[in-house]
Amino acid sequence: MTKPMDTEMARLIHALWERNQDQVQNRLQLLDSAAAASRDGDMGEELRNEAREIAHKLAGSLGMFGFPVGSEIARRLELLFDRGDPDPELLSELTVQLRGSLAEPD
Amino acid sequence: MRRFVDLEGNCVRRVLIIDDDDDIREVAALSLESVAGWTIASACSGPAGIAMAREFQPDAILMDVMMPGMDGPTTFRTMQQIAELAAIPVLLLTAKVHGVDQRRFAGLGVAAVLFKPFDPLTLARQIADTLGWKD
Repeated sequence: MTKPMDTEMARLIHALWERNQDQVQNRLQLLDSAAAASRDGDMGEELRNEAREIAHKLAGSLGMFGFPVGSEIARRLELLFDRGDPDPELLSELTVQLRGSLAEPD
Repeated sequence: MRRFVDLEGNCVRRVLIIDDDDDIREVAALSLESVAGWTIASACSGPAGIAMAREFQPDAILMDVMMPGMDGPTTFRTMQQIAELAAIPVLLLTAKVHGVDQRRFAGLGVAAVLFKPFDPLTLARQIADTLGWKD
């Protein structure tokens, strides 16, 4: 049975998630940009570092908003950016998967 | 260390959250205030966290590992050099799950290493269990 506190907490966390949608979308767009730059062969050090930082933040936060799969995909993206020269196809695939994983809470 | 109590004499725990990510600070604060009834303060960087710790006198500090500028381990080591902060237990929060990271952080002398993403419903219990808080 769901406890009242669970329901209230879920409501408050969902409200935070909704309030932060602009920031989430900006973060996803940056990852899309990094994937596109990688496909074009011109992802510089600055963009890669920024994308790694964004992936790290998403990996650490999506799960607490009810998206553990999103966290896991973001963690894989972080590891890819960590390695320095990520595979463009895998990068694109994971960014698409990440967006898809956020359509509905797990 | 000073103990803070409410009007009925119950111990009110004070926890400082140090994390550069707004989402983490907000959800952790919401969780610890709502679930456990603790008093929470937060800071968005290591230096701001040290200043806040001096002012707020927390019973524990929940601190992110990876922060720009002064990271969590550096902030922890700096706090260890400050007499009034050295005894405050610090729990590091990290999104990294590699064994090498866990061993490195555990070797710092922190009270615990907790992993992100955390469950907002159980975070307070995790902290209380780690620190042996019964009240």
